[in-house]
Amino acid sequence: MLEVQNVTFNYSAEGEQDVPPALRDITLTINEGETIAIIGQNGSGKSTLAKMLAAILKPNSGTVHVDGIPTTARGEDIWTIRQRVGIVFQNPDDQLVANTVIDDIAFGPENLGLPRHEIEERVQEAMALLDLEAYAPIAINELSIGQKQRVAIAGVLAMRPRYLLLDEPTTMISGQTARNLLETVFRLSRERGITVIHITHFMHEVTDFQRLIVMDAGRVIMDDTPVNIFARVSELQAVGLDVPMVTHLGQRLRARGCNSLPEVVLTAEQLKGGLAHAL
Amino acid sequence: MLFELKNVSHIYMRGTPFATESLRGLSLSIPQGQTTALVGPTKAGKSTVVDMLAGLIKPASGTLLFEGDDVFAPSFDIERIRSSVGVVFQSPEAQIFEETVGKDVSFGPRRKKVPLAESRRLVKESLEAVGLDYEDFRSRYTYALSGGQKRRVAIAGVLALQPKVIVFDEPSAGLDPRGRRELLELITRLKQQQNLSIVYVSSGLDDVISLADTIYVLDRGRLAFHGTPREILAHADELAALDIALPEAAQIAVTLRETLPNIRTDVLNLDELETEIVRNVTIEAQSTIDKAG
Repeated sequence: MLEVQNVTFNYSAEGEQDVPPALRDITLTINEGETIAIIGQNGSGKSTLAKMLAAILKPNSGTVHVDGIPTTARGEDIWTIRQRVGIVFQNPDDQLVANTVIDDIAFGPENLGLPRHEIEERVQEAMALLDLEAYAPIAINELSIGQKQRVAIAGVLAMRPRYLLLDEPTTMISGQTARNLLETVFRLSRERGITVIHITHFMHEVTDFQRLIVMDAGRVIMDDTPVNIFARVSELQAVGLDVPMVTHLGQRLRARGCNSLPEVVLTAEQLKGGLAHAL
Repeated sequence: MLFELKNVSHIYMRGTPFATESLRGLSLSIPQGQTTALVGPTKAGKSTVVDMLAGLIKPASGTLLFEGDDVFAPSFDIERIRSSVGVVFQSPEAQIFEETVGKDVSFGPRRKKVPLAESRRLVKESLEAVGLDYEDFRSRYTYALSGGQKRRVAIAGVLALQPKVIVFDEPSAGLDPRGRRELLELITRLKQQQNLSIVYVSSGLDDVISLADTIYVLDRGRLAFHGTPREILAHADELAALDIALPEAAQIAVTLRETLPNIRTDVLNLDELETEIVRNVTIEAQSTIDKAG
């Protein structure tokens, strides 16, 4: 369980007034096995929250606990947190460190000081999960951004984390590559029970998550299911966000009398089903 | 014609073991006063074209014409390209380096030894063109700006150089929905008010479908196909093969094809999609009644 209690954080040093706090009195609990998406406009505090959960940043006030361990812990405890909470950044170049795919994925487990056979087992497993076996000896700089993103995730998985934080991982990739990445993440959640926390600017990416958190100006302003949140169109637009296009479309068609559609349409498949019923 | 590339090829790090062919016989033209989009997956050659348009590299082979003049002609001064083309690079906030907004935007004019009064006017006009109030923003610290503001300041810095064409390289990556919408509106406004030509480079179609006059789709250094936004949407299968996602409206239409077999999938936006659905639902409902009758 990840527990955030009354957390406030400011990037500027004490006394400097020109930067508003990045997080203001945030309290939330994330249970093991949940799939959560976080949306919010640029500067709303999403990435700062992710760094708090990964113990990269420590709160100015309030507490963050990972499975009961405070992120302010030192020594062994902080290593436990770092192993349990994996984070994947927007730009994979920010976190790939080795020359080849296999070396990069092995970097984390090697630093845990694990025995050789255990490292090998974990690296093979992570490569299999991300379909990277064929790429093992390839140089990182030969890869496309989508492939690098998969290597970054494999590197994190080789640490066998309980919690996987994805900080806008699809910003630099598109189309099927982005969809495949999310499908892989859902598979990890189903098969491994990994808790997934996905930060994104793309509203259509969040519809399959169990829980959606909306942030604005350093606060959590909504925390509910996607269907309940996407019913609140004007509130979302007021904070620079929106609902997926298909949700807008569903509303317009309902206004034209197409009552077989659900009140909040989340996917094109739902729309298709509703229209088939109307015919 | 502003730029013409004819059968252009380019190899990075030629003569080394790392040599990579980035363009293989690419031909395309970029007309004055229009928005031209270059779309393609990673390693399609988009960045190489950007470097050529910015006057940073010359093609290894083929012809590159700028305003009808061959850039390989001994008399051609590459400075002509550099002073006509402004580039807003990916993560434009990375091209801001001065302490304050005013200093950053005035960097170009100062380098060009523009007189102070003139430089002030350029900075003021450029900031206002991107929707930032001059008095409010000129002495603000650049590090304390939001992501969206930084992008605007970077664009103002390019505008202050009074270019004829601005090249935007994936400018909306990482922006939230409002930031993205505002950026696209800004680009449309700049084109109209400042009489600029726009080149918009993107890995997806979402932004350019509403923005571009002509879209060139690149694949591994070659031209895959080109046309108006609507013509591009007719290539749904080829786009999927290149891993270029259809814009949301067209994607929804493709999904609905199973229920509404005659639906047009080359819809540009939500309004067109809605009209198309209503038209098809009416036809389908009518045919059901006819069959029953």
